[in-house]
Amino acid sequence: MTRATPSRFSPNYLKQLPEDLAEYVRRHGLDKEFGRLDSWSSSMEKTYTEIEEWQIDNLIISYWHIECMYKHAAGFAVSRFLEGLKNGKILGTKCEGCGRVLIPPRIFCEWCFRDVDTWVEHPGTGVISTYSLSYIGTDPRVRFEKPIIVAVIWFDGTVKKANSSRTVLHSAGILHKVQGVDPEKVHVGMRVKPVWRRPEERVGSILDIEYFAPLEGDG
Amino acid sequence: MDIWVAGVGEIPCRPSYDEMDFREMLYRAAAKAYLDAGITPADVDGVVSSGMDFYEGMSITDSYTPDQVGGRLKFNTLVSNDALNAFIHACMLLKTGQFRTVLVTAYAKASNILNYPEIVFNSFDPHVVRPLTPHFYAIAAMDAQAYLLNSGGDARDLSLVAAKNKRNALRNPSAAFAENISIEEVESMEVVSEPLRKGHVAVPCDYAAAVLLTTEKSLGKVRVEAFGYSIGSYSVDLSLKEWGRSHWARAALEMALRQIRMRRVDFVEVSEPFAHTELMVLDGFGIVGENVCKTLRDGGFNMDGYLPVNPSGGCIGMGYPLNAAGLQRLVQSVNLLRTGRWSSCLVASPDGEVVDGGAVVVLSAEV
Repeated sequence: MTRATPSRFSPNYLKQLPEDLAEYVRRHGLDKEFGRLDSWSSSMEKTYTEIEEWQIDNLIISYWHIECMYKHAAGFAVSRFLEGLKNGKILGTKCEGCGRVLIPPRIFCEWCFRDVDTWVEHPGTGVISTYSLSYIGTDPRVRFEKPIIVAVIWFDGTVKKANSSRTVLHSAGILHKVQGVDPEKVHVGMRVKPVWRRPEERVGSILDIEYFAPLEGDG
Repeated sequence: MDIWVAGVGEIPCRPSYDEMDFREMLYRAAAKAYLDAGITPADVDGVVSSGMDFYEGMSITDSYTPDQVGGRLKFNTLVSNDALNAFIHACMLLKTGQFRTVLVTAYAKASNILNYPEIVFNSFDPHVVRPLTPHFYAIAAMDAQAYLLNSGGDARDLSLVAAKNKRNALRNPSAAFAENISIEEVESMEVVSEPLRKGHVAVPCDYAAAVLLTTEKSLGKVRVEAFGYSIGSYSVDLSLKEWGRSHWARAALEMALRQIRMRRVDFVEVSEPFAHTELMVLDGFGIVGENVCKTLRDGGFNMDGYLPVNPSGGCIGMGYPLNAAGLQRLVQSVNLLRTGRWSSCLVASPDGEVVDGGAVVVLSAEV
């Protein structure tokens, strides 16, 4: 078991607290720990009747850092996909039932519920189907000066409508980043292509594609 | 409203399926269940899956369940704890009359979890239990110690259970830890936490199972006679736990017994993450006339005994697929009933390694 490694509250966060609470947090060194300060706030307001002399100074919080360690077997289909990326190829599967191309690949088709074992290679060119200019990281305290462009790329020739299905549209597509373009000029329908890392840098990861960039003449 | 098992599918237990991810494992199991039932996903009204995000290393796992089991655009829900709870949840859906056929799925990808003991450890109270950093084997061992004291058993009885189950598993092609092993060989294994030896502990495994339940009699292969579930004395700080007893078992069984007249089953399948769990749950049921440990020593729970227990090999013989253990037991029970050797059984599964809670299902070959 590993005890928690204390992390410091950001000064900005302390500034947002009521002064009496912020002062308490500092006095007890709690700004050096992590925890939910809103729970401290509600504790201060709470009335305890069973133990008359209870006060916040008696409050004990046990800190635990939960250590969960996993490996994730990518399975047959995604392993082959990742191996393809390492070799500079975008591989998918094609369902012989409905004709859909699946990128990233699956060995089953959820539309037809059948085995899928026909492999195809795609050049990776496609269009932006949706995107966002993101100014935030997964840590909410982080704000980017320049936005990251996250986008879903629909690969050329894979868009398929199936009237017999309640799903109106399918396209082989992946989430990735778009670079090499002024954020203001990104738009749905922009044609893009993959920009690969150098072969010696590829490891069999989605990041072997460094980003997608506009095709010449678009962007 | 009567409920039948229309079909079952599984992929055999293995220490690891490196070549398949959980979607591929579930797809294989579900495809077998559909084939067994002679129906397609179009005939299914909903999916109930069993899952524990902590085991899967992925949040909100129910979102990732439907595609690979034919559940796309259908009712879908995930039930936590042991998979027998998911099975019972599906039965209750069918009893509403709004569903005709429901698929139940469960899987374990134990090989993905690199520090399983710590995952279980985090189920304990952070103030008064975790600081002592007990391994959950030690918690289970205290249960075993208390059980043996309560029941007049001794540590060798645990080896009898382990050897029986490993030998039973030799007939089960889905078992990963079958072994023609003697009691003495189990007795000679190293102690992990007294009185538990290595051979008394079921080894976590990879596994996937799918069961199709239906109210359509013409599809029925095995009948679901009754079910029950309960939580016994239980608190995360372990202070309310009555050591060495499975209180949940009798309460769950009584719930099931209220639904049927049947008072005898031909065999029992019970998930046993530890050898003593099997005995403790049997004792909890109160269905064994004599002392449970004495009956065990007399061979009463053997394949040819008066009440075979875990003829499939149980979790010790097959592998312990975490929360999927209950559906593993259920699938084995259905397969055993379909051999024609037996006509009824009691399926039981606790909600985890050291939890006083669980579920039971009574099945019969009568359709």
